[in-house]
Amino acid sequence: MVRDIQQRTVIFVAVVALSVLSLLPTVLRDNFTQKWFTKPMALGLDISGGVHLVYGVKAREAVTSRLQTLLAGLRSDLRSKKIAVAQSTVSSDNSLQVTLLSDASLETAKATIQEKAPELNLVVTEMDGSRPRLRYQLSDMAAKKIETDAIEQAVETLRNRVDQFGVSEPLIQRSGENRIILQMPGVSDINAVKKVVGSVAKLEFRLVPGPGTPQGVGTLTLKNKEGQPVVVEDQALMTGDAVSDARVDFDQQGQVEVSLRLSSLGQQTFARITSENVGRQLAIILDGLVYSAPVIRDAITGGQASISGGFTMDEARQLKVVLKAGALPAPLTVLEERTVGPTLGLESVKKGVVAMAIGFVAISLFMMVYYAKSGVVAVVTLMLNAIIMMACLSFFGATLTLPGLAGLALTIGMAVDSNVIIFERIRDEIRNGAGRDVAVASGFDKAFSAIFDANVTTLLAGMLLYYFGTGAIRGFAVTLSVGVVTTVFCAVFVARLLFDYFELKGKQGLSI
Amino acid sequence: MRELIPTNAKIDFMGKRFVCMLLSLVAFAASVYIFVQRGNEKYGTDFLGGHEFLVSLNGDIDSEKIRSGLAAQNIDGARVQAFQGAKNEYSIRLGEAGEADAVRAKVEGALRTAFGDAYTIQKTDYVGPTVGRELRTSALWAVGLGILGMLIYIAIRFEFAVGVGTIVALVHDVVIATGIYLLSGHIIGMATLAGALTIVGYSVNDTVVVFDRVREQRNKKKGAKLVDIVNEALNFTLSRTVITHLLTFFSALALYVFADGDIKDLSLYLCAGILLGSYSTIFIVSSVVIMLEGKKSPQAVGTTAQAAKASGA
Repeated sequence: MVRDIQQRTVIFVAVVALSVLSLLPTVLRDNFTQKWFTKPMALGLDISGGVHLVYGVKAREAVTSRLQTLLAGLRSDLRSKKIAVAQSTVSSDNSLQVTLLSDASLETAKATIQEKAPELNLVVTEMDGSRPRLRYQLSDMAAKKIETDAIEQAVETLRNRVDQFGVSEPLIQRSGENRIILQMPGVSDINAVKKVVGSVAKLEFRLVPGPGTPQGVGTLTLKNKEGQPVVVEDQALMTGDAVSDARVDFDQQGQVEVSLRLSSLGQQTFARITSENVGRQLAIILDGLVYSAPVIRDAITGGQASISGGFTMDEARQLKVVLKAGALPAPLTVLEERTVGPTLGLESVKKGVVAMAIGFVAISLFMMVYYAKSGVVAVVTLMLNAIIMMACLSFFGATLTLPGLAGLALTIGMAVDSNVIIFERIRDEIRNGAGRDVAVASGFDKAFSAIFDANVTTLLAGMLLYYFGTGAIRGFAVTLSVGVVTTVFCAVFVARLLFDYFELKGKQGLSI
Repeated sequence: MRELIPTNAKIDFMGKRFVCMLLSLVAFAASVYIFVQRGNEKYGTDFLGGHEFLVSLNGDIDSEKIRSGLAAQNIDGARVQAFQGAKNEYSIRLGEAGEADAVRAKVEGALRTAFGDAYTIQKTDYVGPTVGRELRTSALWAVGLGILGMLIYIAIRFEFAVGVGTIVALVHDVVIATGIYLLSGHIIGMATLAGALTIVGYSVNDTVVVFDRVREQRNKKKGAKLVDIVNEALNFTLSRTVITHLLTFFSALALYVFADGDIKDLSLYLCAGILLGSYSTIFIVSSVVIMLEGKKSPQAVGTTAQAAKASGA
């Protein structure tokens, strides 16, 4: 018995010490600088204020755009083998069609495409008049892979962009199949965030068709910043991947421009484009908008390009950030967005803490009046419960949210249930004539199955809430679930230890 | 020992079970009626999708002035509500009305035109239609699976009849609490979901405590009538039931009175749920169990019916 008490005391002291230690950084938030095994608990957006965004990634469009790039490459490969392509298109069902001018080189064309793009399956070869038309389909597996990569890359790109934003402790998290959750505490201008973070930044270089080219064939009409239509070729010659660095600069007229340094591969491509097309206009297109369409005077081999187009300084800076961080592989749509002002949360926390304190005092008073010295044991276990709960949350890196605080308050309210069940059982035993020690022992034993079952069911509810809930509700679920475990520990283990340690003598035997 | 409930209480709870069941049926039907009748009106932005703004304003302003200020800028169909009794805080809710940025700019423009600089936007929420629908579906799943999970657990730990009784009580508590919540002018949001699941957990707690006693007594007194055993168990656990609910109710009430926002909503739901929970533990679960257990063996039916008659008289 004595040894048993010693062991239990050791466990008890260890748990309490660990709890207090892991709470230190949170309690001493501002003065705590040293390295420690826990960090201060992060405050949820609802407390600190900030921006919460849920983006949907249009991953399917990444597949289409990949096919377009693939097609552009194939056309240039076919051209280098002197095979004339009359028409080529990409369809939204992940297929592409290539119509050749004549069937003379059909087999060479097939072989070239097969070699350069093995992920494409030839579905059918049909004749369009005298022209053979090849239809290729991208396999579902390859498409799926592109989609998955696109989402992963989107997360990475968002991370890079958010880093440029310079916010402390942003959260970027993939959610579900194709969603990204972004949280930035302490930020209030959601428009600025969306501009930098959410813009696709798809940079393309396309030729403007010369006077000789027939209208409407192989061209598409875009708009420039003033809203006027600009006709460009439907084939992008180079995209944003070729950019290795970007910075804000001024041109000779003192206008703000964004100058780009190209990667070595980009430099070669750019040199080829410019040398082959001297005298023609090259349109620089960002997210479908033509920013400028300068005339190519000479081959440019130095690997420098610039985008001008009447930017303000802010616009140029944002553009620089997104170009540097890379384009998004697929457009994003905003599915959910929330902003919380910085003062709102703090007020709510203050009120919440007051409410909790009042609830706790009421419960403590009742317990001490009703159960006398045993009531004091209950109050001590409740306080310990709150501390251990907070410590667990801090240890697991949970975020402190308002619903989390509510969960804490309610858990304490409910934890007292276990004390009540045990005390009522002990009273029963005493009424039936049991002595102090026997009453305590069998009271705890008999109450255990009820306490256990009751808490398992609450745990079940908490886990479902975590699984199906979002954001703030999860905070509530976590506290509820952690609270169940700490409650059983405090009400059963700790309370029993206190009963074994102290005599808790009242007028007639046990003071309960 | 201080005692709130006399130890030797021998209240015949089961005798009153038919009156209570009738009462519950009426309340249940009324709640279902309110739920159906409110249509989509009852859902908040989380579940319906759309835009929501929490604004605080200085000066003498009411919902009507905000509504007309918005209408003057062609923002129609806005639902303006004083924010849970807080002074000069209002929530403005709009259905899906396009790009969040554009809507925000429009609302802000309207507020500026109507009130000058005397407004602050404290909080904005936009939930897209897909997300809203998904949240609604997963909320239903959560509550549904929660109840099913309880049924399975209780059926394993106790008996199937107790499981069924618990489920009846859970549905009873959740539906009527939701009815009261709607009737008091609240709308269903994420906080309501949290409340509903917490009530599910608490309500099962109670059942467990009572039937833990029933289980124990049954093993002790083989051959005794089920009605008597249940009645006895209810009386044994009565002081626990009252004290626990009183204390939990205190915590929830303190949150309701002193906190604000979602937590205030949540705690109102819990207050209603806790009261309903203690009522349903005593009257609903036990009644259902006695009904079901009675049907199992003809002998038991006889004894139960007699007991009911005797105690009802």
